[in-house]
Amino acid sequence: MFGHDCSGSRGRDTKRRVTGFRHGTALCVLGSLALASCSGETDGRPGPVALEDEAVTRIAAPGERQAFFGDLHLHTSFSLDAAAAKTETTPDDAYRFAKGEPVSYLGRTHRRRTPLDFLAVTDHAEYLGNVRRAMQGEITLPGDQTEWQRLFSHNGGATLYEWFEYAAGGLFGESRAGLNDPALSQDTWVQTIAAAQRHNDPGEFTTFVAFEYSPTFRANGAHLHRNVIFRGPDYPAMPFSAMDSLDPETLWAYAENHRERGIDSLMIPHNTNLSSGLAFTFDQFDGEPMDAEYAARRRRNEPLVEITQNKGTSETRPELSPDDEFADFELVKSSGDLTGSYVRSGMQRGMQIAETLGINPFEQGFVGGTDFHSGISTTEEDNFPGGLGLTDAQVNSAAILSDVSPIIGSPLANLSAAGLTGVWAEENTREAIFAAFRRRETFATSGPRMRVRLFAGWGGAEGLTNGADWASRAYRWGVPMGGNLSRAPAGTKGPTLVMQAAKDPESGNLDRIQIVKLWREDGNSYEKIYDVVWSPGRRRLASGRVEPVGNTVNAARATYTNTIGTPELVGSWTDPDFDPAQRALYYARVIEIPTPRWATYLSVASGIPLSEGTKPWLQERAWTSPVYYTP
Amino acid sequence: MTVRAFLKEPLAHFLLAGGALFLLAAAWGGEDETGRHIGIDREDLLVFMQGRAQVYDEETFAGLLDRMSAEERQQLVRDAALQKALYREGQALDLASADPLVRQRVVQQMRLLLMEEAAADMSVSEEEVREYFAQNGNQYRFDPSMTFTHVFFQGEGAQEKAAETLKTLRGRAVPFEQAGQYGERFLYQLNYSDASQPIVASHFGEDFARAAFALETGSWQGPVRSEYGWHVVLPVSVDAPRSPAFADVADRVREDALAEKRQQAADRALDTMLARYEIDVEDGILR
Repeated sequence: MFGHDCSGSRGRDTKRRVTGFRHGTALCVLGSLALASCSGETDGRPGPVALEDEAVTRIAAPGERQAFFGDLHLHTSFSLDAAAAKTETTPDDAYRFAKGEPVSYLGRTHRRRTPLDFLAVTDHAEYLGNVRRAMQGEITLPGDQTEWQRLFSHNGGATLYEWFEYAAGGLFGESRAGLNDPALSQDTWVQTIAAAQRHNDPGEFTTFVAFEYSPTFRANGAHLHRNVIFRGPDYPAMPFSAMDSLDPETLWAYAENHRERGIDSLMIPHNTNLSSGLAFTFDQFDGEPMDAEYAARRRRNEPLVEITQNKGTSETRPELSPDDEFADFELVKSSGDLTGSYVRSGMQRGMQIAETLGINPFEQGFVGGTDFHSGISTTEEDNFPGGLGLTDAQVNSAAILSDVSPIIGSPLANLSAAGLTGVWAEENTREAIFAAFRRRETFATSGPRMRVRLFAGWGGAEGLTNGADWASRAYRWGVPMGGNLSRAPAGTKGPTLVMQAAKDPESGNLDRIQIVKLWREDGNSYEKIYDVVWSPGRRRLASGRVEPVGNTVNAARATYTNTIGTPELVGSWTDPDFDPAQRALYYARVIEIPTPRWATYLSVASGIPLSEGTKPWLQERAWTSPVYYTP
Repeated sequence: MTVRAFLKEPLAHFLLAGGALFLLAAAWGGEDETGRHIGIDREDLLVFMQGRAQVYDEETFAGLLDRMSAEERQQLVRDAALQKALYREGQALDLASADPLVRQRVVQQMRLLLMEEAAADMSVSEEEVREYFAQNGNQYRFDPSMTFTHVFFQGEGAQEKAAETLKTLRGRAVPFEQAGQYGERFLYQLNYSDASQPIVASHFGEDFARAAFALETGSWQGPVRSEYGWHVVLPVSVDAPRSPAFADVADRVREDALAEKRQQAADRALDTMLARYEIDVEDGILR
């Protein structure tokens, strides 16, 4: 065990107190005011509770939680595939970029317009750091050196894939002479930890030490990948990789063993859309039917699931949700059992499993990540340099916009400049944000930073959203996103959901907020989508749907205007068909007005048209973690 | 850098190879390196074994060597000798010139060697760090920032309501933490702490940001118009754009200063090396 976080030292605490919190809470402001008057006390004001050592942590009232935005899924050249594709950035670069500093990637300097609040660099644990080493000559691979040099000196294209084939063996749990060198990987792990420690700046910018566990199956190409996010300040001596085992249960054992020794972590499954149906199965990995202990371990270790990212959105798709007109959103091809591959149908299965086991293995909140293999986490559609090294480097626009990629079955232009994770936390620190992950007070976005609040309770919500301090009252009234509703009080109607969404100041206006309800009834699973609140001047159609918001996108120029939609939506909704005897869950989906996709900006800049299967615009969105009802 | 880590550096391999050649040459009293004599001693074998295993731990390999059977030793000697022989043959063929990849590798290693030599163990003094800060202070500048709370009204009559409320807030000297009890829900935040001007502008609009940063601090001010309505504002502090105190960014500055110094030293080393050559350019190339 090493890499103890020194940020708990007095020196750092003093800095926190004196400089205040950029994304401060009321209490922090009070604190700095008090400091100005040299009392340093909070004078026993109601609401916020200060811990005994107030210099260490200040916990604000829940109503003062702020939305922080970050990326929990990003690769650098320490990852085998990123290095093979000639990405040159390191975790240091990734953190600097996220903080808003200019960083060079593939020969160009990039800068995020709006910095992130937190970041986890999640390099593949397999061969960690060693493909980069081989290409830099630090590792001599066995065999004909000229042949290796030929592969290393690729400029994208076929040679890249030839080299990639060798370099990516670790994902399949396969050894490759020279690359499978745990001693060198350990050095890289130490560097990974050091970079995160260096850039963690409590109150300003939070880093999480993390890695990706990436078991992939030769037979069907299924991904059962997880990002492992550590709370800190202590870390294991080594990450856990597909070389250790392809069975995710062994990853849980790794995490549980460390947790017992005070090294806490959580695991985030992602790309369930590429799991060939294995992400949400009825069975355990060994093929046995799931038992209660397995379900409990999954739920304890994996409280969150990634719903959107570069390689597609995993919420649902039209084949699974024919009545959802927004289901066809940033999809790539999926194979195998679709029901087990998408989050919405997976969560229905979770409720089904809970009926027999008494525990829902898939009771989880939502996050978004980029999964870019560039170290460059930008989800700004008009500021997106590609995310897969030379694979999708935009110097060759024609290939990206026109050629069908064997990986996704359509042009790489259909990959997504997504996504982000929003959390509601008291302050921008590891402790506060990790706690928000644990209580699932998170929402995913396809890239923009819209702020979404959701509360659920039983009646009495009239006028709740009036007044500047409504959030404080809402926390006292009900549970926030990710929460579990209490049992229905006798004689009550359905639960009431109260929601607010504010647009990303840098992005499009908002179209509508929907509630997605999933429930069990008489042994079957159902879904229904309700339009709850929408921008002014539009009607609800006979179908129950609200008419479309319109479209201002000029694809030939890659422009749009905020003349439609609205900056803020507020509403409340009570379930009209509630049965207190049935399991149900509810999440909010916030839809933006149409804006140009990144490929449209690239098309306009390069003069090469989009191919037929590439949409020129998208309706960016946010998904809140569900609120769960258990009878 | 530990010895083990050092031994993993490509540069170290290069130096070791160079050093080995030098020793060889010295041992044979200037005998031609491409001669037909190959000497193998215990040290050669240990270096060879470690290089082959990519593990640099002399003690372990010494033990391994000691435990080897005569047959295994014979094989090892053959492997080590073969490597030396191949290297010499390659030298004799001048592979480095013949093969662009080898040539590139030699050039790359030489460049690294020169640059590392010039910049190794370099450090910056406190004066140099301060000097760098004085020269490059701008890159550490903070945007102007502001700590405030506000009471918000929107829709018809918002300006009048805000003006009325301003009187109330002033009359009752309503403190910061009670602002939430007045006014309407604002789509973003109620309180802003050390918020930079770009953040304020993105949440309220440019006009509001300009006006708000000019407000007097310590009492309720306004009403100020934003993109969304009217605000009564209680500014607590407004920080002008400022370069931070040196002490606050010293670590970053030191890193940057050192990086620049190393780069300059490396550039100089390359210049110096090149200056030892006379460069003869074909007529007409430089015009």
